[in-house]
Amino acid sequence: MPEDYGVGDGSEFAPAEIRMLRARLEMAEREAGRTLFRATRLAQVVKVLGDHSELAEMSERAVCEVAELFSADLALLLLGEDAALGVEAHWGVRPRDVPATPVRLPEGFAELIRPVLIGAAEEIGYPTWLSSYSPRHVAYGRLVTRGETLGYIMLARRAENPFETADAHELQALATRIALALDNGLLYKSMQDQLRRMDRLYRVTTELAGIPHLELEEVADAVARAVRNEVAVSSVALYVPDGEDLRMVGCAGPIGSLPERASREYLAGTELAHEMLLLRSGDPDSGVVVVSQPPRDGTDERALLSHMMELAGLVIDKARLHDLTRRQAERDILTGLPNRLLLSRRMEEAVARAKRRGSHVAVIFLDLDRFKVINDSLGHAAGDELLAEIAARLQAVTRSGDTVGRLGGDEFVVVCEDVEHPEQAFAAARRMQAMVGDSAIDLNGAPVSVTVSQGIAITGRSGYSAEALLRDADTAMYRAKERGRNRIEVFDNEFRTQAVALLRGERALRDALENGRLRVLYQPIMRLPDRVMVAAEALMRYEDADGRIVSPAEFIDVAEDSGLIVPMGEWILAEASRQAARWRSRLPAACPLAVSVNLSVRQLAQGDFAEVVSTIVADTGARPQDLLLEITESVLMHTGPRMVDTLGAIKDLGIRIGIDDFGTGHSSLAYLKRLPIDFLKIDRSFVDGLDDDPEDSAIVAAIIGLARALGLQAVAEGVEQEVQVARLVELGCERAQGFLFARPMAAEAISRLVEGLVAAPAFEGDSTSGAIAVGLTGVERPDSHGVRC
Amino acid sequence: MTQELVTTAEIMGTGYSEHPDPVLAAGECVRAALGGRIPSEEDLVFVFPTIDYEPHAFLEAAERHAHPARVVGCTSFAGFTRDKQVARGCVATYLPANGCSFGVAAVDPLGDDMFGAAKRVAEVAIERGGEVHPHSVLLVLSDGLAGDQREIVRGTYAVTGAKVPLVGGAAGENLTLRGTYQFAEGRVMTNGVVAVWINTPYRLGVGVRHGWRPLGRPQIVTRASRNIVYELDGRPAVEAYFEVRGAELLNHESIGGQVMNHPFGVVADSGRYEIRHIMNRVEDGLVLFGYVGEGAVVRVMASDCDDLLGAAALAAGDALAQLETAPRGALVFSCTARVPLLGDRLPSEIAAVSDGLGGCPAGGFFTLGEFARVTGTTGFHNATVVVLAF
Repeated sequence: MPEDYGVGDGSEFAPAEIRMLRARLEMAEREAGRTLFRATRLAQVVKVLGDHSELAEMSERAVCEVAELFSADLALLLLGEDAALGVEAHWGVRPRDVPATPVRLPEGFAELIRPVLIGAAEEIGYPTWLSSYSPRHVAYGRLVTRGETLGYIMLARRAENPFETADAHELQALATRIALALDNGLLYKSMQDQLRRMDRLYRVTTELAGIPHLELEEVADAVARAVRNEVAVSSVALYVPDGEDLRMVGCAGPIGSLPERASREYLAGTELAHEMLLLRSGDPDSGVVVVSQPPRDGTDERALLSHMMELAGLVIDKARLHDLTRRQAERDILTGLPNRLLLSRRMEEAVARAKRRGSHVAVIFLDLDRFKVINDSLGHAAGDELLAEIAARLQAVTRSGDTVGRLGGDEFVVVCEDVEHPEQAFAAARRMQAMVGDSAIDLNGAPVSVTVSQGIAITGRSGYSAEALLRDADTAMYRAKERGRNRIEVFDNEFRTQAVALLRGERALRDALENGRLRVLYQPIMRLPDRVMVAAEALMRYEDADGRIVSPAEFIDVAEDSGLIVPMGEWILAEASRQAARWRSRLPAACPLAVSVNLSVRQLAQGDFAEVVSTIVADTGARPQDLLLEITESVLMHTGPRMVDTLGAIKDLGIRIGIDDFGTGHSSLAYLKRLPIDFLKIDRSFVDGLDDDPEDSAIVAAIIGLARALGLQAVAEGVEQEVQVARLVELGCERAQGFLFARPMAAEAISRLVEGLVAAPAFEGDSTSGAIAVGLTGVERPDSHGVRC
Repeated sequence: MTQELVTTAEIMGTGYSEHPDPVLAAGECVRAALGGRIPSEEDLVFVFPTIDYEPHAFLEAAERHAHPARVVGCTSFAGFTRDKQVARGCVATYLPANGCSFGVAAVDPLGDDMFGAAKRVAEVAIERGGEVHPHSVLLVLSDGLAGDQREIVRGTYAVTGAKVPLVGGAAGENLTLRGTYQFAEGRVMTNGVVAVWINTPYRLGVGVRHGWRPLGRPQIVTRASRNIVYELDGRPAVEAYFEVRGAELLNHESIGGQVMNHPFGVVADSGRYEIRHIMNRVEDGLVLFGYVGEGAVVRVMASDCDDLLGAAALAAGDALAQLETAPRGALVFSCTARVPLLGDRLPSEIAAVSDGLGGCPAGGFFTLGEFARVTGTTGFHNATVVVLAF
C-alpha cells in the first residue's frame, strides 16, 4: 500500500482513498487476470486445434475459439493465393454474406503485411463485404509454414477496445501454430483424399472386374452404370464395333435419341454425345463409351475414367469373346443358320411373345426328300453344298422376323411369328416348297432337283410349349413323307392324339418284344371239299403288362408306324419256322403241315431280307417248302425292282409266296405276272356275300378263275357258314379258312388236332407232301382276317 | 435516447398468478399481462411458470387467453414482475408487436447436437420473422439442463452473425435438476430450444452485468472435459476450490448449497469475468453450468447485495443507452444463483432494472443460465442479469 495514500495516523483511510485503492486493486487484479489469461490463451487454442484432425472441422472450431479468446466479433480463415483467397471458415458472419468466389485482400495489403498486423479497421483495411458489420479494429495473422504463406487469419472487433501489442504477439504465435495445424490438416486431407481415391479405385476395379455376368449386354449395362455413377453424368451408352458401324450394347440413364447403331463419325458429330471415351484393351477397336455431358471436373476424375476405360475394355473384350463363342455355339457351321440350341431359345421366346400378344406361332419342319440318296451317290461334299443352297433358298423366301434354322442332317425348321391363320403358315410352306424345287441345283456339274416334305404345327388356343411345337411339326412332316413326299401336312389335334396313342402303344409293344411276351396262334387252313387241314396261318398276339392278350387290330398300325414290325416279323417268322420243323418231325412224313406267315412291306424293303429268311429257315431246321409267306395287295403298290428281286430270291429258296386280301387293293394285274406268286387269298369281304350278294359271288368266281388261269391256288378267308363252303366248292376253290373250321389256337392244340389225319398235298405242286398242308400267316392283317378269337 | 410519448397500447404488459391450478393460473397471469387489451396475431405473450404446474394444461390455457397472440416461454426457478416476486406461480409479459415482427420457432430434442439444433431454430425463426426492418435481436429460451449452453450461442451466432444481439435464458426449475419445459408453437418440450426473431424498425437495448468480484488467487484449469473441471493447478478441483475460498467442505455428497455464493469467474481477454456457477461435484471434479476449457484462468468469485443490485442497474443503463425511443418495457433474465444472495432484497433487482429504464414495466424469470451477446463475449453467462429493453 503506497504511503502517500495514508491519511491521519495511518491506521485509517478516508472513504475517497478507500474507493481509489479499491479501484486500483481491481485494476491490478484485472491486469493480473489478463496477463494470466494471455499466458494460457495460446494453450487453449492449441488444445482445440489438436482436438480436430478433419481440416474443415478444425478450421471452423479454430476461428470460433480464436474469436472468443481474443474477444473478437468476427473471424475469417482465408486460404490460398493473396489474389484469390478462399474463405475456409468464418465466425460472426452470416453465411449469406460470405462470397462464394475467391476474395482479394485490400489493395497493396499483401506487400505491406508483416507476420501480424493490428490496428483500426479503417486504417489497415478489410474486405469490403464485411463493411456492414462495422468492424472497428482488426488483426491479421499470416499463416506461414515451411516458408510458404498458406493464408491469413483475420479478427475484427466491433467494440471500442482495440487489439493490443500483446494480442499481436500471441496472434503471431497462434498463426504459426494454426499454420502448422493447417499444414497437418492439409496433409491429412491429402492422405484422406489419396485414401478415398484408392478406395474409389478399388471399388471401381472390383465393381467392373467382378461383374457377375458374361452376357455382353449385361456387362455393357454394368459398365455404363459404373461410369455414370462415378463421373456423375446423366447418361452413358456403350458401343462396340459391328461391321463398319458401332452398335449400342449397353446404357445407363436416359439416352434420349442416341442411335442403336451409327457410324463413328455420326456419333462424334452429334450433340447427344458430349464425349467419346475409347475402351482400352488388347483389341485396339474394342469400343467406345459415349457420355451425355462433361464428366465431373478434376484430375482424379480423368485418372479414374482412364482406369475405368482400361477395366471396361478388358471386361467388354471378355464379354465379346463370350458372345462370339456363344454365337458360334448357337450357329450351324455349314449354313450359318441357328442350330437346335438357338432355335429352341428363339421358339421359346416366340411362344412367350405370342402368349403376351395373343398371337400365334407356326413352326414348319422341313426334311429334304431322298437326301440320303444324293449324299450317298454324289458324296458328302455335294450334300453339304446342297444343304447350304437349300438354307439360302429358305432364307430368301421367309420374312425378316422369321427364324430359319437347321436341326441337323437335312432337317430345317422355320419359326414364323404373328401368324393369324394356319393358311399363312401353309402359304409360307408353299413358298418354301416352290423355292426349293424351283430350279435344279448344280452339284459338281450334276443338276439335282430336290423336293421337301414339310410339317406345320401352330400354337393352339391352349398354347403349346416350344418343345411340343417342334415335336408336332416333326410328326406332321413324317406324315407328309408317308403320304408321298413333297407334301405339306398341318398337325392338328386329332393328329396329336393319334401321335400320343402311337407313342404309348409303341412303348407297350416294344416292352412286350423285349420281355418275351409275344405269342403265336395258328388258324387251320382246310382243303376243300374234304375239309382236311393242310396248313396253318401263324397269327401274332402279345400279352401286355397286365396279362391281357392284345389282338393285332390294336397294335398292327403302331408296329408298322414305329418300325417294330421288322423285329416282330422276324420273331414270328423264326417262331413259325421252328413250329413247322417241330410238326415235320412229329407228323408222318406223308402229312406235312406248312406254316404261313404274313410279311410287312417294311420287312421286304430291307435289302437283305431274303438272306434273313434264309438264315431263319436254316437256323430253325425247317424246310423251305414248309413255309408260306403272304404279302398284302398294298405291298404291290410299293413294289420296285429291288422288292421284286427280294421276292424272287425268297422264291428261289423254295418258299412259296401268296397275296393276302386279294381283290381289295388297286394293284395292277400285271404284277401277278411279274411276281413269283403261288397263291391268292380271297378277302373275307367277298366271301361274306357269297350266299346273298351276286356281285361278291361274281368277284369270288373271277378270282378263282384268275388263279386257275395263272396256275395259282385260291384260298378263301373268313369262311363262317356252310353255304359259303358249298358255293366255294361249286366255284372250284380248293382251300379255305375261317371260324367254321377252327378258330386260331395254340400250336399244341393244332398238334392234337392233326394227329391221325390223312395227309393230303397242301398245295398244288407240293411234291413233298400228300398229307396235311397248312398255310400260316405271321402277322395277320386285322382288316383282312377272321381273327376274332 | 430520445424521449417520446409512449402510448399505453405500445407498452409491454406484465401479469402474474400464484394460483395453484395451472389453468386458472395461466388465465390469470395472461389476462393481467394483457391488461384489458385485445391482442393481435402479430403480438407475443411470454409465460414463465415455475415447475409446479402441469405444463400442457398450463400452455393450453395460456394460449386460449392470449389468442390470437402467440405464446412462448419456459419454466423458471421463480418469476418476477416489477411489482411481484413469484416463488411458486407464473409470470406473463405481453409484447404488442408495435411495428415489430416476431418470428417464433422451436426445435427439439437438442440431444447431442445442440449446435445444429440452435442453428436450425435460428434459421426458421428468421425465416418466419423476416428482415424487413433494420434492427433485429434473437431471443432464445433453452432447456437449462441440456448440457453445454455455449453450443446454443455458437449455433445461433453462426446463423445471425455479429450484427444481431442475442438474449435469453436457460429454462429453470426448483434445483432438483429433474427437467425443465419449453413452450412454443403450441408444443411443450423438455429438451428443446425456442427462438424468437425480433425484427424492429427501432433499436432495442441489451444489457448484461453480474456484479461479482474475484476472491483469492487465479487458478488454471489443468484438466477439464466439457462442463466438468477435474483439476485446478494440477490438483483435484474440489480441494483447490475450497482451499482458495478458505472454507471447509461441509457435505461431501452435495455441495450445491455451499457454492452458490462463490461461483467461478472465467477470465476473458478484456479482463472481465464470465461467471460459471457450480452445479454439483463428480468425485473430485466440479460440474459447472457451462463449458470451461483446459487452460482457462478462473477465479473464485464473491459478491454482496449491493454489488448485485448495482449490476442490475448498470445492465438497465447499458440497455437504455442503446434505445432510440422511450422504454416500453423490459424482459429480464436473472440467474437463480443470485436469489439466495439477494435474500430479502430480491425484489430490488427488478426494481433496479425498471428504475434504470424510467420505471417501465419489467418482467422475467430466474434462469439456469443467461444468454447475452452484444460484442466481445462468449454470450453464455451465469450469475448475471440480462436486460432486453424495448
